[in-house]
Amino acid sequence: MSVVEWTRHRLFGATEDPVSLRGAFRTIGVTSLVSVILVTTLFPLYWTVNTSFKPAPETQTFPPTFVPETFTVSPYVDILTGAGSSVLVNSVIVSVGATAIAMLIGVPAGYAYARNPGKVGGKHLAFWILSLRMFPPIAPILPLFFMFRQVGMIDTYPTMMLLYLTFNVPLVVWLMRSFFQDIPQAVEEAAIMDGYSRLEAFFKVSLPLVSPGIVTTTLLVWIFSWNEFQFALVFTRNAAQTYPVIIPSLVGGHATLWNQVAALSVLAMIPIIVISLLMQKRLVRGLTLGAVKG
Amino acid sequence: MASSSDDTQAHRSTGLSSYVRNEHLEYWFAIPALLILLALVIFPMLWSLWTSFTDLNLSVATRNGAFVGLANYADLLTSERFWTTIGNTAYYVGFGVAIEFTLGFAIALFMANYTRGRVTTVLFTLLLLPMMMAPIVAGLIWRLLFQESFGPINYLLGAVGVGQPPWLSSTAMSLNSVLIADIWQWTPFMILILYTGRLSISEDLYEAARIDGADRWFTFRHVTLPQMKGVIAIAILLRAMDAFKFFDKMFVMTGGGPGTSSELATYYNYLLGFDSFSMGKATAMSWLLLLFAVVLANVFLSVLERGEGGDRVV
Amino acid sequence: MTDTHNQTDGMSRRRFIRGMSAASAAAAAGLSGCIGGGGGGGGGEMSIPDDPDSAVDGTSISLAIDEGHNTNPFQWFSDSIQEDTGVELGEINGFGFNNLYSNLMTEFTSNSGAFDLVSFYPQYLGTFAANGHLQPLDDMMEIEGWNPQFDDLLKPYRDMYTQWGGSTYALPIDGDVLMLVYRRDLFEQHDIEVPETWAEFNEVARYFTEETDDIDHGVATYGKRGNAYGWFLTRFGGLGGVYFDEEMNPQINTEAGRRALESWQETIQYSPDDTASYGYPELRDAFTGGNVAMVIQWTDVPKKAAVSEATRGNWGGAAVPGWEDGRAASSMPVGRVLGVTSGVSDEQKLAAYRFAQTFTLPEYSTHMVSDPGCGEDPFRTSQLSDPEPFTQENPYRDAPEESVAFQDMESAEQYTSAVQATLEQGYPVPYWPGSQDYINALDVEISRFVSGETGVEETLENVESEWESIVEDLGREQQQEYYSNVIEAWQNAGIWE
Repeated sequence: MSVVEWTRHRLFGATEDPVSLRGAFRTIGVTSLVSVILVTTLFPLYWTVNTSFKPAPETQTFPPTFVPETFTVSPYVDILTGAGSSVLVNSVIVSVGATAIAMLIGVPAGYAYARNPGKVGGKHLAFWILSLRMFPPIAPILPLFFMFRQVGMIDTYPTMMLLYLTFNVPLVVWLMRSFFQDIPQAVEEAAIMDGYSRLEAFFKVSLPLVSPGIVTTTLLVWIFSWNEFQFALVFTRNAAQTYPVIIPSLVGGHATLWNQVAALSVLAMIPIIVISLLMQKRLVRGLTLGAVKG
Repeated sequence: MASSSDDTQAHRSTGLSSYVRNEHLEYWFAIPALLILLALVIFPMLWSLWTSFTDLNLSVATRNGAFVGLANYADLLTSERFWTTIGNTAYYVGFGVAIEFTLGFAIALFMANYTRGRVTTVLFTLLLLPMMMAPIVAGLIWRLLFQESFGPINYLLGAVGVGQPPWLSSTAMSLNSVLIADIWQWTPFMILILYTGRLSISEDLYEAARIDGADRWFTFRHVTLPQMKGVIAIAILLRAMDAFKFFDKMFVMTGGGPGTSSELATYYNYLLGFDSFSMGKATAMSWLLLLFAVVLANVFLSVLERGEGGDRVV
Repeated sequence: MTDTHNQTDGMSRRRFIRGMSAASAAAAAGLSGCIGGGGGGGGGEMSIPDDPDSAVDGTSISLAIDEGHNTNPFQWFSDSIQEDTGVELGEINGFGFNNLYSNLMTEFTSNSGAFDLVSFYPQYLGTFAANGHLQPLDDMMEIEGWNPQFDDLLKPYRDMYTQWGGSTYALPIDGDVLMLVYRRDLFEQHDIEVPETWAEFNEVARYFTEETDDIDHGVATYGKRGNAYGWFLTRFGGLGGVYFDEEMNPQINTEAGRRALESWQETIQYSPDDTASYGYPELRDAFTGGNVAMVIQWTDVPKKAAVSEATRGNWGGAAVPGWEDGRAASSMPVGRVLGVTSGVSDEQKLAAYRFAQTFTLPEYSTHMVSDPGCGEDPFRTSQLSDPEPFTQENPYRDAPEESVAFQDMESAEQYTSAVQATLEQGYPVPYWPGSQDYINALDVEISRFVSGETGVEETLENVESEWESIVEDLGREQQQEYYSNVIEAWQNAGIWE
């Protein structure tokens, strides 16, 4: 078995006719293109990991080191004993809380707009809800700041959770509407014939059926909340500061702690990587607001 | 809210609980979401609309909110910096989305045609990773990669002898550098959507084209493209909206500089509000930006709506 | 999806939206009432209790400051200050270096009372004080035993960093000015004199960049948006440049402006190609990393150079260069002062002042300004007249061995005398209400200039026309009044001609 043939076999299974020259070129072409895509995508990620294991002076040496010369975990230790651990904890609390509230409010609304939009403002109001997601966050930030300041709620967890509703609720409503639409109304009607109330039918029939959609939506909302920066920049100080806010201050005003930035980024990405490995295709439907069924 | 048909049904039921359970279920389900959005978006935006017609400036005591009509809007529309940042945003959104789409579409079709099984799965998983990074992190990492004196990109370019671009320190390059980071992060988004969209086209159509003896180009023009129209529109518009909204990457990569060469409109708006504290102008600019967003959103929504009636992409 | 409800759809939506609009309009009117356009100035009235010492005992205060190494001294000293005064430093809120102004202003204008004590750059003093966000400190300074020892403050800091409209609003804690930091070893090796004029400065820069391989570049310069304007003012001020004339016409597009930029343009030629992207840390690292022979930098950089591998024992400090037909002028953009916010209770104000006052006393602050672990620099006469603490450990540190800036008295003396020399030539930055806008406009154009996109003439014309329109925008008469008051104060302080 030639190398080319073997590669093709490993990569694509033996579906092509084996030894033609065209097939060989094709395999080489495909393999190199896949490699280019992968290298371009992964290099910045690799560089993050690489930098996160270097001591600070080595992050600014020329020539740059493609593998840490002095391998150290101290950036992780430093960032976690410094500001890192509290902002990560804050990020977990804010993002989980924000997700839970958004789901609690958004899922029923999504159901309403899927089943009977005419009763709740119709399709146009549904579209209007979605369009709120398109707002540049800067537009409502100013007045929101004064609102929350008036009630003394700057830099608190509930405030951040509420603020994130502005972009999360439209997302949940829209996605869940699309998922509920996939479930035939007849299923609920059958349940009602059996003596369920509509509320019971919703909880006992529709909700379980739509649970894959709920998982997708939850994850997506969580990721957006986890990575949010502009609201957090204006609305947090100390007590509720999330991790994206401290990242610029590690390489900004006074410091160039590239290794700690990298370490914090790696830590912040781990949960998301785990999830994206598990979820994959489901996330795609979410990312397209339900437009692609996957 | 009740329509006439609801009313007749309501007469038949007794007591509040059955209202909730049955006829008015949608109403109770939707109200919390609508109230939240009313309080957190609509109400602040009305304050901001009102302020945009005043001279409110929080750093100068004499500018305390007197009505000035359309002066703020006029000031902005005649200001060079406003148009520079709008131009930067248009460039950033336009080129960014165009390149992401072209690359993404090409790679998606390539994957659909040439990769199978495990390769596809692995590619798919790895392509998700850049999107999962916080934009602010992606921006900083690219700033590190782009460092002119010790970054790996210029080192590698120097090693192969093709020159070392002044990525972040020249006005000609700075916005492009931010754009490159954006393309890196979001091309995978295009790939994944378009790939999924391509796979959902029925193989029968391709089979039919093959039987008719259509060549690849013809098949692409007359099968792939029309079938994917809806998905393509959605992918482009979603990306355009996000690129328009956020300044995270620019904020950490260049801070808008050198000069205003990479300053995006939303960031200038942030500075007007939170640095000049010229609230009248800042809110006026928010509304102007919103106007742009609404126009874009309407295009998006009409595409979705058409999708609902026709080949149902939603 | 079926659309059986279409007939009722339009009607109910319209009604619904109309209802929402009415409700929000009412609410919006309510909200706008909450946000003042800034107070009338002067700060809040307060009464001083008979026994202020016991009044503040056990009080906890919160501090706002820029994040990073400048927060360290507060952690070092807070326990000991609590023992001395009974005031506890409860919470330190850190903000990004370039976001401090935004965050403080939003807090102040919403009257949050979230911070009792704020650390900020003196260029904001006028805006904060004139809008009534800060508490005048004069009465509290009179309390027995609460004297902040202003006699010992370096004159420019005392007169310019603390006063607005005849009252004292702030206590200095950090005396940053720009100075010249250079590689003494290379200068000696190549037999080069420390430059005293900008022409000599450029010549030295050219020499190290073009004629030797001992170092990559002769010089590097600040180019990033944020503080690049300070590097311009340092040249501009020495040529007798002023910001405005009496009618508030910008005086930037003048001979002084032109010569300052031309001289800087030459410097940029000898700087690293990416110098336009350098902010404070990049410029610092270029020197302490051994890549450039000299920089104009803030006064904490020698302390950092003294503990960096590439420059330890090899650095020298001097006053910024001047002009043959002018003088030397050192821009003073980023020092730090502590102010007490006006929106908190009298007890909190007293406690905040008491903490700040104790913090600035030499027994604490001298250990901070001589420690490379923070960015605070000398601001008291005693801190320059006696260099010894710079060679000693900071007893308040957990790891005192890391706190020694200079290994020998010679370095320490060189440092203090360079700072002294550069200070005597201090050139103040605008700090009246609205000056943030002038500074930003200047800064943006300067950063464009450093990147090479605009030339000398264009830069000056752009700044001039921007400043013109800012004056119009903010109100010419009031700006004129602020500016003439500021000039008067500067003249009294002897830092303005």
